[in-house]
Amino acid sequence: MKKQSNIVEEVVSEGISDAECVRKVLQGEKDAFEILVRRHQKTIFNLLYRMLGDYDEAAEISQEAFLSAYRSIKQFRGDANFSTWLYRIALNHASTRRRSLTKWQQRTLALETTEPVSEPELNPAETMEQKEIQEQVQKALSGLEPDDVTIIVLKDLQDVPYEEVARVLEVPVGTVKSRLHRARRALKARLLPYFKARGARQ
Amino acid sequence: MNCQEVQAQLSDYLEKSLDTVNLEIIESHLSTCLTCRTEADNLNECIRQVAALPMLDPPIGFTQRVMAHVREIENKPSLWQRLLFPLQAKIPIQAIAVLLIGIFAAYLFQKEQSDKQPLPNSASTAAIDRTAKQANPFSEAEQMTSNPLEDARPRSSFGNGPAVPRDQWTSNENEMARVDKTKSPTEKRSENRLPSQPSVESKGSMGGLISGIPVVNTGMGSAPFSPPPEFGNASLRPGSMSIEPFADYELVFRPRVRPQAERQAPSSILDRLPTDNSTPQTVWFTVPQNQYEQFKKDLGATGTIESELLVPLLRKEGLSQAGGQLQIKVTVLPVAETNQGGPGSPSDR
Repeated sequence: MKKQSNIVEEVVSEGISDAECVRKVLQGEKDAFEILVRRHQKTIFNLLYRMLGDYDEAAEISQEAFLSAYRSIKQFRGDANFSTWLYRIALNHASTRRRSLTKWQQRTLALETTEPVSEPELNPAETMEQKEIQEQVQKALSGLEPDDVTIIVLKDLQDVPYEEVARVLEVPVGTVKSRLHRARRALKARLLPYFKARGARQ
Repeated sequence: MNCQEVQAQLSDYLEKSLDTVNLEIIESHLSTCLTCRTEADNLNECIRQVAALPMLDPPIGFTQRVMAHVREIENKPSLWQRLLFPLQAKIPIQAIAVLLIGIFAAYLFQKEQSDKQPLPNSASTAAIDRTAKQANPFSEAEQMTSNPLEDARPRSSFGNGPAVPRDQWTSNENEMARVDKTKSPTEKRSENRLPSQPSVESKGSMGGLISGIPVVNTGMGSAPFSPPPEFGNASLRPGSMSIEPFADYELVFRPRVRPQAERQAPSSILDRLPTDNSTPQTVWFTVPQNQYEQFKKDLGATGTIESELLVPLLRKEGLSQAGGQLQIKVTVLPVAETNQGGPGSPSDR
């Protein structure tokens, strides 16, 4: 159930590869970097939002990640996907952000997830129950280890192939699979009370 | 397969990535084990709910904000980029520029080389005193040589004047053109075999425009005053157009007319003085430092020392290189009488 914005679809359909955009940026064409931003902003932002649980925080860290990528774009090697490289930069920024927060702030962040006041993606037909489930899943994610959240969001939310997840996390594919299974069980353990309560209600 | 083993493979089972054998085993187990089936259902619900999470859009204007910061970061391309990019346009231009600079540098180098006097690898070197050149309208007198290399070198400042008969060389000191002819060590060594026979080289060239100036180089012999052993320490003298060995003292000497008897008297200095006194000539002596006054006295006995010039800048270096030996350059002027000849004419030698 992936929702792609029209903008991203247009940009993706332009046919200019990430590597071509990077080459143009290196030649001084800044507009080429805008294509990269439009193409990858949604995945980066949603990864950070699911990890941090705060909409504004995720937007800020996403912006930092893109600017950091622009500053160090000369270090990007063409042998990896630009998205993989960008994921790594975003995760580094998220990790730095989490370390800078105190434990009390992290706990508050985990408990109080904030979402945009007006959510354009929300379907008006979505029921209150769906909203409630999403909030519960987000809370459960915010209580997990950052690596577990990363691997669940990349694989189960964004459907990133195992091979690319392995490159992002710089571990073998087998390790990704075992870590994903462990993360799913941890998420299930956090959501189990909600599932039971919901089952009882039904 | 027990429950733990089955639950370890539930993710693969739910992703339908199990092989057929394991799939049948797991399905067989789940059909009988309520615990494992509940676990599988809960995991599947988790995966489904995560996948059902909405992909939120970033805030409106996110891209514009990022790009605004990007444009602030680097408004100007780096020096490297300005120099090189775009490669298609700038590399050829730079290559052409480098080529032109190289050609211009080579042209300048060759022009500079052609303006210079030849290096002291020629058989002879010449020195023309600048003051004499200015004072004497016949200063085109130049070193005569049979070396074709030297004949080919530019004579921009000399050689344009009319032919000057020898007789026109006057004894006036102010009008004197002093032309020094020194020899390469090879020539000097060959001449040392004839110590008592001063050699005179005087050959006209330059289409007959130049008067030859004979230069006497004395042999070493057994005399206490000997010519400089080597001219390897020759240095470029300021104000000189070419290279000659440095002199610690430069003397201008005018000999007296001597009777034949006096001329045959034993005198180490007299033996080396040129016999052809019609034109100024240069004689080099090497004198031990402590015998310089004696040398002057002996020289004064045969004529008049009209001027004595100590070359201060080069003296110290010269002494150190010659090991306490003074290099003395004696310019022998013609004697007072205009008609010279007799026993001193070159043909007699």
